[in-house]
Amino acid sequence: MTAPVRRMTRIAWIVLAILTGAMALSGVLFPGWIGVLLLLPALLAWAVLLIAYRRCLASWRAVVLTWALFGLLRGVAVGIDVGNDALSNLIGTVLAVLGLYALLAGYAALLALVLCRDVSVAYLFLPVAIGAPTLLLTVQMAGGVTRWFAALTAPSTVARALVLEPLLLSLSCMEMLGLMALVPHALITLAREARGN
Amino acid sequence: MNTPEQAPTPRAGKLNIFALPSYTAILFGLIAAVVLGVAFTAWLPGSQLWWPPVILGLTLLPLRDFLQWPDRLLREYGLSRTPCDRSTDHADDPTRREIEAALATLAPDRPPELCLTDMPVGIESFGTFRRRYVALGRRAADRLAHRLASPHRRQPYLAMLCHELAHFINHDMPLAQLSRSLLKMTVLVMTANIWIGLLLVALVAMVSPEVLRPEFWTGMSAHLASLAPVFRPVDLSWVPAALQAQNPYAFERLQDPAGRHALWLASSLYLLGAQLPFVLVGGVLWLVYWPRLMRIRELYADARAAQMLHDAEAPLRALDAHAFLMLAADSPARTLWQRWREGWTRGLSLKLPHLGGLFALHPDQETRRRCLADPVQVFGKPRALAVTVGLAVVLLDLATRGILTAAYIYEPGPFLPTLIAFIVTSTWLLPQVCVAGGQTAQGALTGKIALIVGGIAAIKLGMHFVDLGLVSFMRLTDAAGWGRAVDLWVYAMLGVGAEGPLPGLLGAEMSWTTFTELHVLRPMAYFGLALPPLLGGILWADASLKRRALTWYGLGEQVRRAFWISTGLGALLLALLVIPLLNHAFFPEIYGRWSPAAMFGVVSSLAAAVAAGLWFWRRDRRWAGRCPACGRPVTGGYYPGKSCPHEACYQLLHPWLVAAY
Repeated sequence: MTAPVRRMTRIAWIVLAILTGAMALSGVLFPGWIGVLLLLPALLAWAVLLIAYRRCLASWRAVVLTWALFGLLRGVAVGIDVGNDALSNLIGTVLAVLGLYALLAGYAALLALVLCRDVSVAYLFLPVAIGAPTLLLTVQMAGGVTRWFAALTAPSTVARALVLEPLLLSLSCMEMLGLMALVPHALITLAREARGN
Repeated sequence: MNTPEQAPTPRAGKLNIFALPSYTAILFGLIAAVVLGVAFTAWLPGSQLWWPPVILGLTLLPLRDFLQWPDRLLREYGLSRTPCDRSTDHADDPTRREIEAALATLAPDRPPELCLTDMPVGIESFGTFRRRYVALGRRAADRLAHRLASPHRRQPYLAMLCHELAHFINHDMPLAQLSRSLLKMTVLVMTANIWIGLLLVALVAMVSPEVLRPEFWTGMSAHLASLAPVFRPVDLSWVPAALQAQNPYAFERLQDPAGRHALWLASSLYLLGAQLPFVLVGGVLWLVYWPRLMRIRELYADARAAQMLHDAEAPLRALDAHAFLMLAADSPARTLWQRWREGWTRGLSLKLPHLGGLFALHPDQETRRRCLADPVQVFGKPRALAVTVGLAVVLLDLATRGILTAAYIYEPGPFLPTLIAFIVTSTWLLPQVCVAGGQTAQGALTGKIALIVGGIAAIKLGMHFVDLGLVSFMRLTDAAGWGRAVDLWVYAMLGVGAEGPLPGLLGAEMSWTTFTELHVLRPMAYFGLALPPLLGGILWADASLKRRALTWYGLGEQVRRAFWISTGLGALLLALLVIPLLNHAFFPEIYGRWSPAAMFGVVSSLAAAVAAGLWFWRRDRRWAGRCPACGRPVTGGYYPGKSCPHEACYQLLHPWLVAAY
């Protein structure tokens, strides 16, 4: 990381911390809509950080870690948000915002990995290989497609965090990225071979 | 000791194996023919197989894997490709400079790129068609550079570098890695297909009785409307009718919960029958043939290193140098799979020396010494070739018996295995022909041909004997039950669910005796009695023509053209004359009528034989048995190192066939 980038990263971290703190307190100290307004600059700061750390993100380890973190944060956020007191709301908001950051980091990790390395075939294969048994098991457990679909779309299900949620979101993204990256990566490989480097 | 700059001094008696087709390429061709041969038959006329997924899957994916292999190694080993003048850390790296200078001296046209790592790596060369890398661990590199700097101790280390460079010069790097990628992808893709296919079939079988009912779709429309009342309700009641119109047969079977099990069974059988032969064939090739290719390429690299340094002992001394370098590298970085494989191979070699040697990636020192002393030994013994080709033919048979091919591709029948057996054996025999001078050697050559053809036929017959044993067992135990099992297989080939109403075939439509005769006894007679003498005869004629062509001393390296014409003619006669004649004689039910194309094939093969015979006769009359220097006759067959016997001439004949070490 060069010095200007390091400096910019430091600033982005500070901005992100301040904005996240402000968003968390927005329900307590300020009106709630201020928190919504602060979300946009916070996400911009987060995007800057994700770009700065793209090399760390471009690995399978980062993909697994970010999506696992998203699942965990979402689960904890939904679990804690059952109370109606101010502290529960505060922790719930922080966890929800962190969950959103983790979700974006998960998507960024998937994108960074496919940009840095040709994982397009793995991206295409994994959703089919994992998706089919997942679907099979969940439908079987629900006792039929109708019940499965009804349970999946029921307000009580939507309100709680599903274990499958990170899996479904990441695999669908993988499939699309894999399709998009297959041909460009093949062309890059051929060009490198033609150049002999 | 000689240095690479000195002129080569040919020594009598050693065959220059680089002047002939390489055995590494022959083995690569065999692997590719077995795996891709089945896939490419999808292009034959009459094939109903939709070729793009099969052919593109088995060509593009391996190619992609092969081209990306160096990048994976660079990343895994943390190899640095930074040249010394571009980095402050390596600003004046004497180690890198010394090794790069040595590589540039040995391969001035295209020296490989040197890659260093701090990981415990010895020396390893890798690359693709146009990319060349030599990887070294830092400690090993320091030790190597130190030795290269010492004029007294540099020779074995130069030989070691020559050996690594030889893998690029011999072009065995792409062949070895491309075949590995091909086998790896065949096994992986087909296994993935089985996994995904079985799960999808299970899913479809499980949900169909519910999903194919019209009530399901009306209920789903209502449910969707209740989820988002702001949007206009979506009507999905048309879906069942559309699905039924697409495949009424499958629709009817899937609707019935009782028929699901049978459908699942038939579909699973179809999937396994289509993909499993590829997995098995790929696995055997990967475990047995690929290590053999790797061992052979090491022997070729030794020969190349000896030729570069004009010293047959240099590669052997390089082995000690390599061991010394590996000590510096502590232990080479190996993946878990490589460590497991090496441990397993070593254990097996100790317990069963003959079997363990099959899986080793490097030849033992004794084999290396023997091959450097007599390069023809690189090609191995005729018995080993018979087993290699025979097993490949059986694997090809296994692959073509799979549902994916058997149901959709009417050929290749005996064409592909016979042609593969002929071309591989004919090419393998070429070095044997080159060293076969004198009459006794001709006898030895005939014996080798008989041994190879007999071995291939025995292995092929072995498979048919297994078939015969199975059929006899079926008939003696529960003929009706086994007949139903065979019926299930046939229906699975046709993609038909094998439940109740389908009529029985074996024992009803076709008797067990007819089945045994058609599928076991007649193929046994075909491959055991009729084909071996004809194949052996053509191989013998091919070897004799090549031996004669070797006496065309004045033509020099152009004699190679005669070699290829002879092999090509043999293959043409087999494909267009011998095999069609045998097919019509043994299987009149299948090949009943002579089509115009088959007749044209027979006539054109005969015409080609006459034309090639005339070409050969004219050249033989002009060039055979004459010294290119003095023009006087030279009697007897050729052998490497043979010279003109006439006084004051003593011209070395075919110097390009004599090794320079």
